[in-house]
Amino acid sequence: MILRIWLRKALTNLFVLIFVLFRVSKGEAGKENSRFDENKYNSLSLSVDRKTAKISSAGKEQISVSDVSIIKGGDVYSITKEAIDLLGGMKKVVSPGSKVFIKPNYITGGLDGHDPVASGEIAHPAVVAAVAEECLKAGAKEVIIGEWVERPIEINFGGKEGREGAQVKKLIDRLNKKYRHKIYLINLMDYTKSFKFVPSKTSLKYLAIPDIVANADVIISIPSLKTHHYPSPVSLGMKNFMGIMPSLFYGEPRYKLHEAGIHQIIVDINEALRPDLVVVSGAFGMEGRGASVYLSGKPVDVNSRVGGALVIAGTDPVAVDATATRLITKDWRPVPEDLQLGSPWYVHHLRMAYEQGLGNINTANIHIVGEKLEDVQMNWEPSDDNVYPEIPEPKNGQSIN
Amino acid sequence: MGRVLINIFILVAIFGAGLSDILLAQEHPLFVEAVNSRGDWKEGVVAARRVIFTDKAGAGSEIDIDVPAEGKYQLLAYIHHNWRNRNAFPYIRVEAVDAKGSSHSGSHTIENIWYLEDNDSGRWFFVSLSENPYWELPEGRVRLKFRAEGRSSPWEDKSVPLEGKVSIYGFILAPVTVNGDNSHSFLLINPEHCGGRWNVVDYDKEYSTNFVETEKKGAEFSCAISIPKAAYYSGVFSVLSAQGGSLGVEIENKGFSFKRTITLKNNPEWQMCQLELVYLNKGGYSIKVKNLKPTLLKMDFLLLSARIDD
Repeated sequence: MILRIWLRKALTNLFVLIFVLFRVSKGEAGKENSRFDENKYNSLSLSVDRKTAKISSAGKEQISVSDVSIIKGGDVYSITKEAIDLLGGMKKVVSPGSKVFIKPNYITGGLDGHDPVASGEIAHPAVVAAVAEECLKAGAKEVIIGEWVERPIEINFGGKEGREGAQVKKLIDRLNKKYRHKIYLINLMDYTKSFKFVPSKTSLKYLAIPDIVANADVIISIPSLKTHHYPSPVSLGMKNFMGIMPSLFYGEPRYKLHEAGIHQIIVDINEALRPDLVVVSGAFGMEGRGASVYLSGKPVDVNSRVGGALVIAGTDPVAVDATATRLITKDWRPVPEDLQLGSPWYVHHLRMAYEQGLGNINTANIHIVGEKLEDVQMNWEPSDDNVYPEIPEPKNGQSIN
Repeated sequence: MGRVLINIFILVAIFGAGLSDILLAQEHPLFVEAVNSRGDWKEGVVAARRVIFTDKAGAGSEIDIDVPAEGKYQLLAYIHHNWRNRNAFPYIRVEAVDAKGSSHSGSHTIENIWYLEDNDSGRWFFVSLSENPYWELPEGRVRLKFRAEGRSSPWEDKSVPLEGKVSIYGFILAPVTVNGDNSHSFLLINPEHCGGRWNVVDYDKEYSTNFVETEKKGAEFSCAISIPKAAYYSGVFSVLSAQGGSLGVEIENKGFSFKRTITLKNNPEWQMCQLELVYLNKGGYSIKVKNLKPTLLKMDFLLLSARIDD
């Protein structure tokens, strides 16, 4: 009898203990998921009047100020290092032992027989090499420089040199001798072995990111300074990541991404990757119907416009792109009533990235160091296909995408 | 008698567990040859692969593929063409009906290959045909109906005549590996970018592809791979062994080694060899492929995919 009572009590206690443990673990998991979601999306609540573009911050988060450096000079390699140093140096971005992935803008790379560097089509090789060296000096374990090119030919910057190539191989070979072969120039199509799926707010629901990029500790974007044809007036650090997206899934030239809504796709990719540094190569650029000579883009020798090459850098990719946009759209009209937003407001993916909390486009929250923007601002020719402005008016109640 | 029965029980338990393990590890073919389809596409040989092909817009065929377990799947196809006109792009459309009668669809517009030289023989493309980028399929059979068209550009629906043939070598219904909040695709390995002693051949006109080759016994290449989730993995690899041969495949890391010998038939056409299921934990491995006989072997890709857990 006593034994029976004892057993009953023991079983009751056991059930209560299990119940309590279950509730505690569920609560902890819920908290963990909540922290994970907040870190992942880091969304701000911004109330934006789309007609006047006046903003009022309704969010709980404090909007931080983003530093963007602008350096002008003759030696592209040196001014790249200077632009990074003004932000606190590469050690702010790269920890010892990091795996770094650098995405330069290497588009067609001169397949039609022209010089892609001097035409502004691609990032200047000295900028790419300087960034790679700074990563190694900060202690990077390896630096992978890559682009997804759907062609069986050896990617230009990996092999073909001279006038038609990206002309970066010699610089990288020199660095590899000095730093014991830690830099790799690759075609992502050749070396990607699998893809990680990241969420997309478009109808695609998920995007496939090459494992080499998804597994990198540090991601750096090195675009060329370019205007662009419809649907984006500019092609800079954020849009540069279109070049990692696999043609295996999205076709060439990634038409499935365009069909799904290219502006949100660009935001989704950047939200997933959270690039750590953007360095805009402004020794040469492209205006008009960019972003290639084949598409009738017009080369710009920046030195002839402002008396030196330019490099623009920052750790907030939205702020860097906004600053670079302002740099080349001095007289573009219209601009929003809120002048703090300016021409970047009319670049869909920049505006959307700002609204979704990825970074700053308003001048009040961008601190420019180095050159003054007004001293180097230029008025480049926009594309002739009515790409600017894209007034963010909702159509039939649907949001712009 | 009691001891006999106990011993019999122990033996049955041991072998029964092993047998169930084998049954559980029964593989499902990862690669389905397109020649198993039926319809208007014709059978032939392109770049030494047995394919189905068409040069007629709208010609349709269909093929059934078994889905081993409910889950997310990507449909890939290995497709060949030799279109050079910058205003003509091969377009493949697929409609599928799964075991529960639900419809799925997908398409892909493949770039034209204007950049190849005049006497090149075209190119092979891996393309994803499933939308978004994968389908959610129930266990059972899925019937794929597919057709080819010509498109004037990837941006428009405007149809143009087919510039030439479009050929399909096979289909792969690759499970998506889900590990908590993370999802990963299959693993696709290009041997010419692995390390080792097989020779790299860039774009061969006869075979329309890059590959590695060797006829040296003992020559090996190896590749580092990262397994995203502990699961059973199966693999296929594409090999040409005109004189027959034997391959040793090894997957290993510290504390684990899986080795298999695969006998290759002498075949003047490329063949897909299946690698049996192997259980791999999450983490890094090295996959090594060795030529075990002094016969000429060529290989252009390996594909590994996780089995969806029941």
